[in-house]
Amino acid sequence: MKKYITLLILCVSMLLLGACTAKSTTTSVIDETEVATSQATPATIIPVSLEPPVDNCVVCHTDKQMLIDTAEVEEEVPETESEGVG
Amino acid sequence: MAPLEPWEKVIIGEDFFTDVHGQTSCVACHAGDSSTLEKDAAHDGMIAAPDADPQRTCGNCHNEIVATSADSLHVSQAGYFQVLYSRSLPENHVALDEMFADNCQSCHTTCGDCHIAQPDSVGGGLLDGHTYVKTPPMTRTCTACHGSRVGNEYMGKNEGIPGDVHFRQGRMSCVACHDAASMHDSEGNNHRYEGEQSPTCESCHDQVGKATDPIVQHQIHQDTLSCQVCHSVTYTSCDSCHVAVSETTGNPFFKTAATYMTFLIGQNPRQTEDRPYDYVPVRHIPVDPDNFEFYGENLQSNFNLLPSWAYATPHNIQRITPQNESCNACHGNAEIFLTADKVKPEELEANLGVIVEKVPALIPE
Repeated sequence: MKKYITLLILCVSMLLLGACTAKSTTTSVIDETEVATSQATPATIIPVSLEPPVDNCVVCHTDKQMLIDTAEVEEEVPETESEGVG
Repeated sequence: MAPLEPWEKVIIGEDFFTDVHGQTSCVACHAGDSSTLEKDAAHDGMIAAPDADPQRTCGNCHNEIVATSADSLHVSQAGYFQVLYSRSLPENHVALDEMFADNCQSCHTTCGDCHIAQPDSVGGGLLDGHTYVKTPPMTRTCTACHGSRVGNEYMGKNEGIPGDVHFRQGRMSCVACHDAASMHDSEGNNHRYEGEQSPTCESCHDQVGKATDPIVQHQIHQDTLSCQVCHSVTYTSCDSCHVAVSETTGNPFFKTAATYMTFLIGQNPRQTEDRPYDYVPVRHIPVDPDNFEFYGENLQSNFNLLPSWAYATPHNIQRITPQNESCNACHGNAEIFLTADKVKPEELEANLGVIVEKVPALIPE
């Protein structure tokens, strides 16, 4: 009888341990998925944020020579017909 | 100042990028296409002066200023309409509006005309590499527009006439008196000589006219004479500015008949509680009944409702002037008063309220 009871406790313990093991396995699968998901998102963003778009307005308007080279020849302003102090 | 080279007008300085205004993209205000270096493509759809719609740009942060400045005289130009319409009739307002759009509207001021770039009247161009200039530089902004009278008077550019003491000795720029609040808000007034005086001399000279004032003449004359009657000197008057549009170029132009120096004291044509003086300096303004004949006949049919010798506040203040050297430099001296003989016969009726009929009597020595 004593042996039977010991065997029963052993079986129940194994059952419980087995149940616990199964649960922790499931959890770890979810964690891996979460980690994998959370790592995938930044992987697509980082390259974009490291290379901001070039603002060509600034490129040209801070370059004196480029502004001189691209300046349009100013049309000759016709002599004003105004007379006297404005 | 010499005109700026084309590249100087549009080059952006390094400081702009440390300015809070330099933290947004160019296209946020100017539109256009920043992805290309090809000039025409980059400028396609570009808005050169985004402050033409100030609520969309400046107003995002400076909403209160933009809201009040919309009605300020620099923006609305209401003072011009007040006098134009007063001398006219409603049926002529359309023609006058056309005249105004052709010849006068370019004096309209935007935020950027004072804080970012020189006004078009002096060729435009960024003031300081697109950095926002909180205090507008006097000669590149204020007197770039207000040059021919105020600027010349203030800086002593009229031959033989000294500049204003506040400039010569005080090195004060326009904004020392005309502060930002008064530039950004006309407080509902439709003319610069309407409403409370701003600025006033007494704002600084706060002892004038008080019991502690050692100059007795201030107490005697304080509500009778404007400060400029005793403290301004010879200033500019003009005759007959006629405007039209050129048949050859399509550009508007003007012809002013004469410009000359005067110092004349008249009766105050704008006497109110805020300007109680009996006498003020008066300046001949460039009006005549046919100023706008290019745009229609008899557009100023009520010409005589307003004087052609107008209330003036010359900007060439001196402590000692010819008229304040002694009592009788003014009293009994008909030369410095606008008497009827100094007014053109055709303008007598318009100036009845300004002409001095009886010059103050000589004071016995």
